[in-house]
Amino acid sequence: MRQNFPSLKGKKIRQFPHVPPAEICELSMHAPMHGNNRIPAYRRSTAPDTRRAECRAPAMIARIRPVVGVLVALLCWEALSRSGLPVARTLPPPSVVLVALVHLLGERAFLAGTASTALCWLIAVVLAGVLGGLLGLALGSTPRLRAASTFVVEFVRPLPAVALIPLMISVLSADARAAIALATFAAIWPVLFATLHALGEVDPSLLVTARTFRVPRWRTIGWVIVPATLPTVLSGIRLAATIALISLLSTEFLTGGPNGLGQFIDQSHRSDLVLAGVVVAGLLGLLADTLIIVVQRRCLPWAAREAGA
Amino acid sequence: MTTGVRRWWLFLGCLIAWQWATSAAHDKYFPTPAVILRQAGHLWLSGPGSRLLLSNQVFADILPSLGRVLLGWAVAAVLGVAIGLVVGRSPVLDDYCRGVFAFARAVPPAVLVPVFLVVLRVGSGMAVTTIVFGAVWPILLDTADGARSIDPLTTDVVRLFRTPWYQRIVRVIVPAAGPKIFAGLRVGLSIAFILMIVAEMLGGTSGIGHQLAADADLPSRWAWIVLVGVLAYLVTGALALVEHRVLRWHRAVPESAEQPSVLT
Repeated sequence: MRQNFPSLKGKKIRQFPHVPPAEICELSMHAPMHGNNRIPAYRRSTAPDTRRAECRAPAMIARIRPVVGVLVALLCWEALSRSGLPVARTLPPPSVVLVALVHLLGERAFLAGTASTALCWLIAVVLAGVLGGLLGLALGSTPRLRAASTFVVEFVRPLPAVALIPLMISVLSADARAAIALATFAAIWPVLFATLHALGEVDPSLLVTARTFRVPRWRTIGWVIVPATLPTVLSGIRLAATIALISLLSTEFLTGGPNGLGQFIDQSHRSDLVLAGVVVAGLLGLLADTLIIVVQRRCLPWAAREAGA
Repeated sequence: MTTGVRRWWLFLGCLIAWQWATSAAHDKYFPTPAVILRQAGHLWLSGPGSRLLLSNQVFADILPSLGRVLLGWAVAAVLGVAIGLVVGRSPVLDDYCRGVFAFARAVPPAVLVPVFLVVLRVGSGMAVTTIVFGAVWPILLDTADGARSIDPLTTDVVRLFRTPWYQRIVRVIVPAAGPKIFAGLRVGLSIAFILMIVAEMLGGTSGIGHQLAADADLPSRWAWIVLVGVLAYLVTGALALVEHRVLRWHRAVPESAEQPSVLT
């Protein structure tokens, strides 16, 4: 081949993929959701940031520091609520809340309520993930439908789901169905938008390559589009989980409906119990958040950077 | 014209279908859009001409609610961006704060309303505090994320030229984190709207949320819901316009012309 081009004789041809193709695919999927994602990742600097790496403490210390931070924050809270300032007089210190929490964790009713909330939450997030993903795929693949739906979506999306609570109660009665329906409605939008965004950000060179090799459409979807979009969609689901939990708990304690965590927070009129419930809700949120990040890192290793590793 | 038709046909179609379905169903829970519109006019546009026909409720409920959302969101934005930039640029501080921030973000802010109710009593202060507390985390964490992931080459060049710190912040760090900051601001704004309603429903004597919970008349309830939708749409739209203007440079990076459409 090279002999046919005498002018190139002896010169080292700069081969196109400087990086092996597999690596190209992997790197280009690293494109963050925001940031300068117009430039494919493999053209951006991928050199490790040595200066910042030096600043980073060794792994051991880096792991201890967040714990120290939490402890300092708790101490500040303790000091504030024991200081006797007028604002803090009604705020129970963390030591009292901790005792209340331990008591609560031994109560069957509380555990059942928490389990019920967690189950409703799981259902809502799964529903939102499936519906949002499918809707995103449908809108993202038919430009005409997307253009037409833009206005409807833009109008319905900002509507806070909690505004629908009074109506939902009168229509569906205050039970788990209403709570799940509202949480799903609230959580569907981040998934939908993440899917649409991810479809727009699929590296064109991957699609062109697939088309050049006449890869059948269903395989393109399964082997190119889904792997490329999944990390971003999962980020959308992460946000959706947060929003679903907010609207689920709001529904629960505004309606006094299903006997969940939100209702417990509403009906225990002692601040320490309320705060203990808040801590449990926070731990629940944290658990789900961590779970999604672990899934992202283990099952979609190419998404590691996006997860904010 | 054609783009207008293309963008609006589905919306108008939905509206007509809604009107048709509700008038056919005759369900008292689902009034027709026309009834809702009439009720909305009755609620908010029945005031004297000297006040542009706006009724008392506009001044007693709608404007205060809007003020709470915007005030709470603005405070959250200032706090979130300031702290986020510091945390994002300092790896040590980042390490220390990570645990606290992860937990604070995970706490659904709506459940804090009862706590704030006890600590701060009923009133605007409680609503604004709730909004600030809920909206600050997405803004803070996104800003920190944006500030953290600035191209090291850029920061090295800035150091090489010994750019003063304030110029470094205003001209390098903030613009580089800009897209992320706006992403956080958007999420924060929608959370601010949710919390405004929850806070007013639970512990308010006025405001949109209070009216939503207190007004038992179904067409009025629908009218309030539509109003919340319109307000949220307008405010998020305004934010999108600002973002579009501010981040113009960000999109200026040329797009590849022959980008194939996905799934064809």
